[in-house]
Amino acid sequence: MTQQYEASLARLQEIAQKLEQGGLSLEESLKLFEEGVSLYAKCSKALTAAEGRLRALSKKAGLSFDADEVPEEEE
Amino acid sequence: MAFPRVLTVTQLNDYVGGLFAKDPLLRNVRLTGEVSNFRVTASGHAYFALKDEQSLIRCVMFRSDLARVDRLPEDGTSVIVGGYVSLYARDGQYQFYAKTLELAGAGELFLRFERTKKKLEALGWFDPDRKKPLPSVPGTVGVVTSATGAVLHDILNIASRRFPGYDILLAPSAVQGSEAPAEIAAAIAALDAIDEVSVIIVARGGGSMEDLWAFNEETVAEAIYRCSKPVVSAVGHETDFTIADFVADVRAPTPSAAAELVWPVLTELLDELRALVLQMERALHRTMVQKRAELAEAYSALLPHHPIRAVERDMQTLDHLAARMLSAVKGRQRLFWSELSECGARLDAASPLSTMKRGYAYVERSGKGVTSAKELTVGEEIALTFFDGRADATVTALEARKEERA
Repeated sequence: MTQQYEASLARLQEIAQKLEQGGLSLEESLKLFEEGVSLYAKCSKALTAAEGRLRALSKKAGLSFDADEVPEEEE
Repeated sequence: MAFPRVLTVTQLNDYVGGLFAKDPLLRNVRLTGEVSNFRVTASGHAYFALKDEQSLIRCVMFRSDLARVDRLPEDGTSVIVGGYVSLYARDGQYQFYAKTLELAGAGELFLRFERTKKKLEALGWFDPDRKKPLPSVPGTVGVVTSATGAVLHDILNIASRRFPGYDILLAPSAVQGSEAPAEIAAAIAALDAIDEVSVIIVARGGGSMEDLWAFNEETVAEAIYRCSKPVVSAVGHETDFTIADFVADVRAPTPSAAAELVWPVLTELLDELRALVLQMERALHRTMVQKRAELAEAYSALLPHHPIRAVERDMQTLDHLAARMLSAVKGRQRLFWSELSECGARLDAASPLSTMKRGYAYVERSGKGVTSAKELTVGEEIALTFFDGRADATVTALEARKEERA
């Protein structure tokens, strides 16, 4: 997960906004849409990969990534 | 018949007195009898009579002789007197003039006993603080007694009953008669010289005072006094006391009693020993339990300061940090997902596909989009993109619409 993701997401948000605002030609909106879909897939894939890595690291450190509870801090 | 000449009474008594004086036996006689009517007059002379079953003789003892007598006899006492026989002219009676007087038989022995006792007591031989204690468990027990009497048998009997495995060393000795004192003394000394002997019993069975006399002799008393080992005396019956009894470290009333004093009952001894061992074990156990408790207490007092506590605390902090980290990461992850899915939803909502579904198609020529009919000429190849597919077409006619101005 790098700045690339942040940039991708920002671009995706920009695309969504542009599409929502309308005033685009069908061709333009189609192209943006295709780009958006591709960015979405890319972001989704990056997030899933990040999650997998976190899970693996947690397991290696003896932590449970999937446990939701945060232990109460003493004192 | 012719009468002899007439004598005066005095002449006769003088004559008879002269006869007594000339007789060698009567000049020096030792006479025994029972004293009767003994009295000492104001002048200091003693007058009494001596008698036996049949006869009686009057006796006198002058003050100077009386002074040398140890103990004045009571009436009925048997005595031996030494002196001469003479006639007392005034009464016309012959009588015994005693120069010495001693008690005969048991009386005399009793006197000697008293003398010896007083002497040895003064020497400190009877002092309680020089009495040696008996060993609680005897090693070899030396026994001084007759080799043939019942005494040895009694002692062996008691010993075997109380202390199986007992060890006796007998120093046989005469226990009465003139040789007895020296033999007894030698036997005691001989046993004293043997290292293994831990205690010595000097014993004799019951008898008359004369029978027991050897044990009143100073020779025996001295041997007991000199003995480095504890000596138990057991002479005669319970009522008999001898000098040996006073010097001995322990007096036993009888030889059997001496054996009982010397040998403990082995089974009782073992029982005591077992009880002691048990008591020791219990005490040890109690101590161990107590020490263990003390240790545990000390340890638990130490525990809050134990370095493992710091480690545990740090570990907990670490756990907590890890959890927070995880939680934060997960939160961020959720945020990403929600951002992304929001974008997805927005993308979906603004999708041009929905427009195309309503019947619009997208026109391309040579891969470039065409948005105006004016861009086209008749005969050109174009591509139409529908929401669900493509179609290639040829422009067959063109009609341009007049532009409208807003």
